[in-house]
Amino acid sequence: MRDVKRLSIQDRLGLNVFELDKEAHITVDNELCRDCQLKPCLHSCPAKLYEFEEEVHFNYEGCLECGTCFIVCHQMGNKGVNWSYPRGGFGVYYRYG
Amino acid sequence: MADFDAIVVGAGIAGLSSGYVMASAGLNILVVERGKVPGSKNVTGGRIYTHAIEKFTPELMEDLPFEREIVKERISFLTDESATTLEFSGKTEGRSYTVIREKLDGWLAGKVEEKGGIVASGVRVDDLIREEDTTGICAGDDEITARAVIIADGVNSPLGKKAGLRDDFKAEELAVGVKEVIKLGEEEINRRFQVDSKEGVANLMVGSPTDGLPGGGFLYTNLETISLGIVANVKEIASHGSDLDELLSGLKEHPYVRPLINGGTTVEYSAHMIPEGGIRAIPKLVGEGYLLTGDAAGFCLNTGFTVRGMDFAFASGVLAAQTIIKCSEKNDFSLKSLALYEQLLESEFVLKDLRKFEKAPIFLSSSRIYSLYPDLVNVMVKKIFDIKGEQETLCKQIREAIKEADVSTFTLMKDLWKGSRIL
Repeated sequence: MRDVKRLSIQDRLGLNVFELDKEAHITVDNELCRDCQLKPCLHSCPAKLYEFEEEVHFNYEGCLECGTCFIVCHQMGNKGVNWSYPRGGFGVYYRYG
Repeated sequence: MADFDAIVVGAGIAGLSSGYVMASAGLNILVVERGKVPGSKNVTGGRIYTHAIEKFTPELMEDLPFEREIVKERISFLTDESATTLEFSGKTEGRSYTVIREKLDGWLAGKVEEKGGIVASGVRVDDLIREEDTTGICAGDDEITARAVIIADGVNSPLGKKAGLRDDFKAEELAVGVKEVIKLGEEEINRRFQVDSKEGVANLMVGSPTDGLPGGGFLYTNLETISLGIVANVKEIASHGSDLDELLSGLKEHPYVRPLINGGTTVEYSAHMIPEGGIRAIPKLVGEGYLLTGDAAGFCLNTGFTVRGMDFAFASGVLAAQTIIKCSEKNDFSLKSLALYEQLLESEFVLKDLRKFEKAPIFLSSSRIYSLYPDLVNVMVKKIFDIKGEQETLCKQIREAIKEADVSTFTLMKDLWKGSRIL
């Protein structure tokens, strides 16, 4: 019998359909992130797209467009996240939703 | 002369219900959607309660693409090791169905077009324009005008902010959900959940799914798939450093959940925010040329045992449409005329229910509900069924369980009393 497979976040994102845009719809301003103690973006993003290695990096390609990072950054962090939805027709394409 | 009578931004439930009602009344309307097709950006848990559709647009009930009608309601209290479930099975008077948004929203968009409305997908609205008595939208280099714009752009609502109607919801007023859609097959779901093909189960879970944080787990049976997810308060998640993706993995391995999804194949992973601040978080709903609807307006109601959003979205869209139809008849789109929308919302369940449950968001932020009480319920029920020789009376076992849980009887009674009044 097959079992419940433990999926990594990369496995999970790999299941989704994305229409990739060349331009990033979310960017981070590390001038601001540097002074941010909590860095709530790092673990609050349900897709774990924020990484910290000397500075904050964001990989917009797997974005699920929930908006959580912006809320936690601007209300609990140091407002380093510049956020918008991807351009029309781009980004995640939920086939179930 | 404006290009349209009304422009709707966002092809979700609220946007499409408003588009459908306005187009049915013969208005010249445009629905603009940023996703490649309607529904492709939209996420639900989810189930829709259909009372609002039945009331306002009963003709839509005939071939609406539902998954399964909910005939079993389950509320489960989970600890790491155990689960206690309360189940109601049987028909309720009000109906509810599981839905897949890509199907539902695509179908609804088709209905808007059948009535003569235009649905333009793959277009992101970047800004709003307002000149004398016309209003409108900017998308790239295009400017399109209308007598009024219905803003239905979802919980983050960039346009609600641009229209000056609202600010961001506060982190404590928001929940964030993650969900896996798991393919099991129709027959297998029927067998595991003991239902017929058209019938399904809704299961909310409280306790270990969120590791004791305000929120919970959910499971809904679709026709061939299961929607399994976790919802938790945004502020709590951020301040505790919890990880929703890990919590969902944990839930999948829980002894209660595991046998239900075993052998299934995950086909999608989604995330979405939910406005759960209740009536106190509701922003301005009417502006010069604008009406705010659905999630953008914060129209969701979580009572802990019921979670509603799509019925609120549908009704608010319809009421916004009725307002625009009235304004069009009077040829008056002034702020005063548009304010009819608020009166209609007040006369319907939308604002009535939100007002009734005004204190629910605060009550439901108590951490006891998500750790102490699920533990207590499980300890108590386990004791009752645990025969190891000499058996104790029910009364003694309950007293012992409360003692073990280290909760004062006073606190327990107070929470029960408050909960029964507020929820």
